[in-house]
Amino acid sequence: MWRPELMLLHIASDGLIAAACFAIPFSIAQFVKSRRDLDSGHRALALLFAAFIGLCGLTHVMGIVTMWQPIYISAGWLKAVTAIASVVTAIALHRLIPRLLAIPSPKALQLEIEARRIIADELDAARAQLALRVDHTEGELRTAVQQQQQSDALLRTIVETAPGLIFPKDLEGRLLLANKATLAVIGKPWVEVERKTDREFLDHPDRGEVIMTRDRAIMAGGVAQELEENAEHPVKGARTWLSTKTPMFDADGLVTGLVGMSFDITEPKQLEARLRQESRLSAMGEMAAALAHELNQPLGSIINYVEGCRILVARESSNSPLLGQFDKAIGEALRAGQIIRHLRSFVSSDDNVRLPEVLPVLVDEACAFSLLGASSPDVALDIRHDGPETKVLVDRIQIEQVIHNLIRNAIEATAHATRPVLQVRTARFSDEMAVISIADNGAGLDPEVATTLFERFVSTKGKRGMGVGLSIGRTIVEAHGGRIWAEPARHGGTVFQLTLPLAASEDGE
Amino acid sequence: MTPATIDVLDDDRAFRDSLGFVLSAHGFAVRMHADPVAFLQTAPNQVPDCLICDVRMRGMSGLEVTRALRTRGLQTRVVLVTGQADATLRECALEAGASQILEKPFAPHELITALRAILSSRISRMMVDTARLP
Repeated sequence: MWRPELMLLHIASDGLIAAACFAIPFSIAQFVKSRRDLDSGHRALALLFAAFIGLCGLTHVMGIVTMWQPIYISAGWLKAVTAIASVVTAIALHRLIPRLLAIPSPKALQLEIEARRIIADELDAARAQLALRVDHTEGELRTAVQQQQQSDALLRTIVETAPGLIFPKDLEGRLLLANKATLAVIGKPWVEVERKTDREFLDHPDRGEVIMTRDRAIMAGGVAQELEENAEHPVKGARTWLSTKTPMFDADGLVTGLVGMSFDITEPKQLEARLRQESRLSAMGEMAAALAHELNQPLGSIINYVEGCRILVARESSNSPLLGQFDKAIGEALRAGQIIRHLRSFVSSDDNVRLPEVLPVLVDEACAFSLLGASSPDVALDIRHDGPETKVLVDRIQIEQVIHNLIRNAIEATAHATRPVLQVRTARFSDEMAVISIADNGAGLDPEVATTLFERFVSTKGKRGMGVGLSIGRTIVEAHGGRIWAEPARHGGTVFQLTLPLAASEDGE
Repeated sequence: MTPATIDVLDDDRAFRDSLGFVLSAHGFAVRMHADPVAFLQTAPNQVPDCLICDVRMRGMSGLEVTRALRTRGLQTRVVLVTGQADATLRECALEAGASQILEKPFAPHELITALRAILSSRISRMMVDTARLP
């Protein structure tokens, strides 16, 4: 039955099939080799498929061979192997179908890609907007920082150029800031005082403790306080400060520290004191003038009446013991007039003539004048001069008046002493000043009175004194550039001391 | 010789009285005046030899009284007394024509010495005046 044309058909067909079947596995192998992203399952399936195709090709080759050689046994085994490969490939392919189905088609992929691009574009737009917003915010932040820096600089300038001291402290009293003026007073650079307490940075820890105690009280009270403080300036010396200390509060109203500010009021204080002294001087001058006029009239009358009596009595008996008493009465009244004249002598400052006077002579004379007609002549007066030629530049009448006043006071103070003693001393006090001290052994001063002693209308004599003498005395002494003060004497009683300027012409003794 | 008459013009009664008292005791004849205006009205009729006059008075000062006397051509010697004298007042007093100014309180002998000096000069002046008569 095998006609040559039939055989040729089989052989040609089988040969072409085999050739195709052998070519396919090569293509598959090349595909698998190039597609490195294939997972191992797909790769194995592809190779299995290639093997199956290849084996199919072999069966067709075997079909050609068996036309001439009857090797049906070998052909049968080859078919069996091919069958197994076919079955396995079919099963595997069947299992793979859902996964192959899941692989999107290029069109679907294109759509997907489109969709993703839109999303990506939207994202880009959003990102750009965000970037803009961030830029804007950064700009605002930069402006804010700049403004903050500007206001910081302004604040710093204000703090530094403020005429006073500025020194905020925290709750523990540590210095948070100190402007130049403050550092100048402390006398230390900022690094040495930064976040330190007064106790730590002041040279006198005790002083620091005093300040801190006061600060704590102010912070505890929560109310600002104004106070006058005395503090040494490293260059200018002793200064008076007007300080305001104001508690600082946080948002919850709790005290976080205090802000201290101080102004140097030394000069205004001095000016004020000088003005006060001047006004006191002029007030006293006016008073003295008024007193002079009012008192001189009756004093003149008294003298006239007594003189008239004296003449009448003398006419009766020229050696009457009364005559001497009349003379004394007239003498006292004249002395009162003299005192008023002295008082008045500083009404007009033109009358104040300051000349160099020998201090011991001046004091001796004033003492003698004071003891004249004193009510207690048994007072022992002990005068000693350290430097018999010491000269002071004074208005003699005024200073004699002050000494006179002090001696009279001292005599009255010793009225109840068993042995009244007054000790009067003169000496040099400093390079510029001399000192006069008048000590009595009387009852001593009431400490309460001592502090206000030199104020006007404060009297040590109860209702008997007007309290003008010491006040005038102070005014006179201060007008001379001196000082007057009282302190307890070493053995009871009181010492009054006053300083007076030495005369410049005094060139050694 | 009749005692010299002294006029006292002071609006302070105590001083006026006491001065009158002491001047009488010293043997002077004294006329007392309290009101400067009233005094000047009577002055032409009773030309005073010597007037002791306070400076500060109500209505008229001692200086004005002195000037008024001089304006009327009266040669009355005036001693001014004052509760408060200073250099300016002393100068004014002398300019106004007062012979002397004393500050109250003054020692009695100061006043008496001043009065004696004034009165003796008055006597010698009277003698000079008499000598000039034709």
